[in-house]
Amino acid sequence: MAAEQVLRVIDFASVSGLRSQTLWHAVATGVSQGQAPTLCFMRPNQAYVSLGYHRSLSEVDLDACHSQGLAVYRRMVGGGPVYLDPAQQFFQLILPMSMVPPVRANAIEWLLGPAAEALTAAGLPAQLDTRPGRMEIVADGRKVCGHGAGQIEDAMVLVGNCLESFDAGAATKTLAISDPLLLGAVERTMDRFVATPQYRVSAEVFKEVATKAYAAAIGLDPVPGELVEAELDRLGELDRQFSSAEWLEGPLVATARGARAIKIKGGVYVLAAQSGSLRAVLVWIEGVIDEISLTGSFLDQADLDAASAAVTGRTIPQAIGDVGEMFGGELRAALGSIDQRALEAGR
Amino acid sequence: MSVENVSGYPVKLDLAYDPVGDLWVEVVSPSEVAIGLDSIGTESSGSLAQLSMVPPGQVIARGEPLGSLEAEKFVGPVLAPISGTVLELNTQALANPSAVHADPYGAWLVRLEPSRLSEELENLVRGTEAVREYFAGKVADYKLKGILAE
Repeated sequence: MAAEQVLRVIDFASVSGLRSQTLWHAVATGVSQGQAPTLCFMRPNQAYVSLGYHRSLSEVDLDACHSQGLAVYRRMVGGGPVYLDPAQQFFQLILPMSMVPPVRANAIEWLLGPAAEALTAAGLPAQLDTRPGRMEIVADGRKVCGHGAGQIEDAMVLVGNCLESFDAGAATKTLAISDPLLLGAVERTMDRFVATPQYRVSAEVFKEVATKAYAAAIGLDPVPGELVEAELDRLGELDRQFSSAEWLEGPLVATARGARAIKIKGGVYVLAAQSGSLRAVLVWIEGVIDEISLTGSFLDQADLDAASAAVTGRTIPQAIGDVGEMFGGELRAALGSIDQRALEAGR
Repeated sequence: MSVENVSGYPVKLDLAYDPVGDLWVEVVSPSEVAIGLDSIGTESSGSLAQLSMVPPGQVIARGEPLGSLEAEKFVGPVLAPISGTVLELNTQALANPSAVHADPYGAWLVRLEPSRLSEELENLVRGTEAVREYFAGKVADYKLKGILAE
């Protein structure tokens, strides 16, 4: 039987943080070189931080991570810095590029659908939110599965982490955020929008249903498998590569100036914007300013509180229109530094 | 030369185009080319979130990754249309992928000193009529495959 006529399924069970990244990268090389399309499952046996391929290392508080014993690894797929721990069940689908729909958004939707189906079977009221700028699995309005994707050699990889529970406090501490107002807003918003610990999720049911659903989606029979020698060789190389400072530093990426935006889930961001001495920390939910804290040297706190109340519940363009020359135009300038297009597009 | 609309997509007819990576190439001089994403490349990749290129000084062969782009949390390679040495990156454009998405001809992304220019230009589509025909055909093909919306 030719390699591509089955779906190879490998359950790595519990693995180290490093291996929970390098294993599937090694499989991607294998699939790229002719191994069968592969579905992997694994769970990290320790907490760590993973950084999306293009993201700046400066987004992570390395000292805080080291003091908590958390390793930091850069992955070859997209998305932001994420806190990963043993309460998350990982899955990865690795396919030859020739099997993947050419439109990336369509491909991600196609590849996340079976995971949403499996999460529902495992005990969550999970749905795939396919609205523009969202494209994620949610339950009760909360994000219950992170994901990233990418082309590694001639294979496409979709990775997912099902969030059985989520430690927002620990996750927030890994981010390089010096402003206590921003830190607090990020933790509160993560608590509000990430994971649904009130539901008991069966990892075994998830794996069983995901295997069947992915096999049906790509039209191949699932067959238990293991790594081949070439993949094991590649795994050793990747272990060294991912542990190196050079790899962790990442590619040369230019960063735009302007407001800092921390994505909590699709349609939900915590933002920090500054103009002159005025600083705004706000939570943006589905296009509207849900909460905002204004601070500034030599500015009257009562005036700042009144301005906060006035713009809460408004869109950013509405708020910019409302505030006019308030605080010498600084609030308008701070709000104007927010890249609204990027928020709406889910970047 | 102004930008012309071909099958609903803006096209600069005086540039050369790489059909493999959906990139445009401008021959600035025999020792310098500028490279950017074309309108089909930006449209088919989705909402661009990140763009990165290899650093100046790096030697790249045609078809090798010149950089990468990220859209919809998907990271994919940007393949070099021309072999050469990277001279310069447009950091302002690379820092604003949404601006590149909105106006793909508004900014080059990378400048190369080509090493096999005359030979490799043969792989690119050049000339007003050839470029028009290429874009019309590519848009029709991508629509047929569902890569571009009708």
